[in-house]
Amino acid sequence: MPRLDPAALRHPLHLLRTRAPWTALVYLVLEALAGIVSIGSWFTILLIPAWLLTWPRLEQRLLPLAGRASPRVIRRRGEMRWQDIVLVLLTAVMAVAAFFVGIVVVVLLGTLFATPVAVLSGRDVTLGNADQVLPAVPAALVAPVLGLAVLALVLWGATALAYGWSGLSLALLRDEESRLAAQVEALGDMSVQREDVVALERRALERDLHDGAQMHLSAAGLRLALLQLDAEQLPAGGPQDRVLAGLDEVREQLDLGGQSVRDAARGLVPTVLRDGGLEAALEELARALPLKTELECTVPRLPEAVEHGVHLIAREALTNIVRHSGAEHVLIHGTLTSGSADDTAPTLLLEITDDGHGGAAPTGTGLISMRARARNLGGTLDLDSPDGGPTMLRLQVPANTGGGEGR
Amino acid sequence: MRILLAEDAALLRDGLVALLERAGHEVVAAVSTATELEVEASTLIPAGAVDLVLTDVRMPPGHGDDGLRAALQIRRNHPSMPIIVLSQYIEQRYARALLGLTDSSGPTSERAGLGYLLKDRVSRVHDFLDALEVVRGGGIVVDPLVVTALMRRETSALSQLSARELEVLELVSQGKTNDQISVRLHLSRGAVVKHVSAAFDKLGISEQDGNRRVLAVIAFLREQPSAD
Repeated sequence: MPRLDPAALRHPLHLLRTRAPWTALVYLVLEALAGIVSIGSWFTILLIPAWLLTWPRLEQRLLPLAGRASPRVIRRRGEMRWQDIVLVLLTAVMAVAAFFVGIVVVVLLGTLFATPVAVLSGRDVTLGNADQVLPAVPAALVAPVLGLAVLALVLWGATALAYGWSGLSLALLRDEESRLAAQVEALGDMSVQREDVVALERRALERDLHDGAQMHLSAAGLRLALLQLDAEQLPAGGPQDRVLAGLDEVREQLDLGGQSVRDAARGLVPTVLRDGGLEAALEELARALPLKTELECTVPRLPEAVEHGVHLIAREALTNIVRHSGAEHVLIHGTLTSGSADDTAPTLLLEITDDGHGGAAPTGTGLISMRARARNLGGTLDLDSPDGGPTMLRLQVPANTGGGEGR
Repeated sequence: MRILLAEDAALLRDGLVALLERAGHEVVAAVSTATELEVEASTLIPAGAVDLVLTDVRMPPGHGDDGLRAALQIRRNHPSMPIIVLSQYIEQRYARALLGLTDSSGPTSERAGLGYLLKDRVSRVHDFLDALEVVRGGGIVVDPLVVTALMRRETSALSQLSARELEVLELVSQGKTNDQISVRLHLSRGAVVKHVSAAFDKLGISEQDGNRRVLAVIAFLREQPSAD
């Protein structure tokens, strides 16, 4: 069902040659029927909830008849909103109006087209209730022409009415869409915040391990080394052998302890980001990719939050490319563009382009959290992924470099 | 041997000083930050008072890889100064940076000795003291655990090496001589030479390449994506 361009209403002659008026008429008839059911449901109180649940879902599917796009609406089973009630009430009111207008139109058209038949069968043609008899032959010729004109007017009117009415109905339904979009955004924000909290805790845990357990294990190892040198000075023989063997056992335990702590600490913190900043971290990501990668990135040290967020976005983007794009080459381009005036903060621009098959959906969960991250940093994330590729992801984030250096 | 030491934890610094002095070395300065290390190095090394620099990786002021960066800076200023870096972790990135394999850190000289050791290694006191001597003598010592971690991964060039050749190469990368390797693996000296040259061939290192042992270690590290 093609979308209707409202401008087409200004060219009735052209409009009448399309299917649009007829589908609009079907739409209005169905709406009127729905209105009658709406009115009917009030009399059988029990049916009200059922109808409130049914009609908005049906209406959503009928909208294309009126030349509108069907809104993407996801509802929970049994969910009902105030907009649904408004929709049903409006439909009922519209049905009453449509009923009377419909009767007038049908009678008028019927009369006009029936005139020639009446003349042929020898009846008089009168105007209204008046006894004024019209000349039979001119009336038989004029009436059908007049009928065609009225029919054209009705079809045009129906198209316009259906378009207007469906717009109202769409507004009521679409509210759902924006509400869901907001919900998705909020969920994205929540998951980002949760990830950040986890990352913070892991950093603290890693620091504790390093400054606590690992340091004491190392200190014990040093003490052990000194003890061994002492033991080697003892007179050779049974006691010395026992001491040296005992030291070996202690060392083995120390090694195992150190290994366990290292295993536990491993991966708690992306050390490359902490030590080398974004440039080094992106290089590390690129190096690990099973694709041909080109990296052009000259970015100074940025605040921790910016580096952390951008790193995660880049990692997610590259993971998606490897998993879904079928790409062979990836180009990662990162620069810091200075603000146009002195008072504007510089912006970090990161572009990741791949030569995969494109068609990346902008609604995947990965992208939602990437967007949420970009939003949290006060930036934007754009995805351009036409079918057949190439896909380009463009991230712009304000890089408030205050205190970026010297960490 | 006169050693410049940098370690931020007082407990470990004192322990290292005690151990080094006990082994007959002299600690010319023991500092607790990367900044101090660079300051001390800039006066002590030109004065000829230091034979080897021994530094922790993670130190103030940044508590990141400050010690490593100070070591790289010292190396740039004094290309012949032997340096050993002690790390809490097996971080191939640190090893790569130290051996001059990343563009950002710039190439370091292959003439002077370098070491990358896990802190735990110190408890094997004789291995540790040997490593000091090897590095001072211009050798390269990479912690066995780092090398083992590298070798667990299959890579194009390394995967062509036999188990024995890898074993030999692991010891080469720890700065062992052919004689030491033959004792360690209970092989004849001739067999060690055969394995070593086979490994070099497979890694594409020719006889004209100078310090083949160093190049072999570098070949290990260059091939590996770092394990985070």
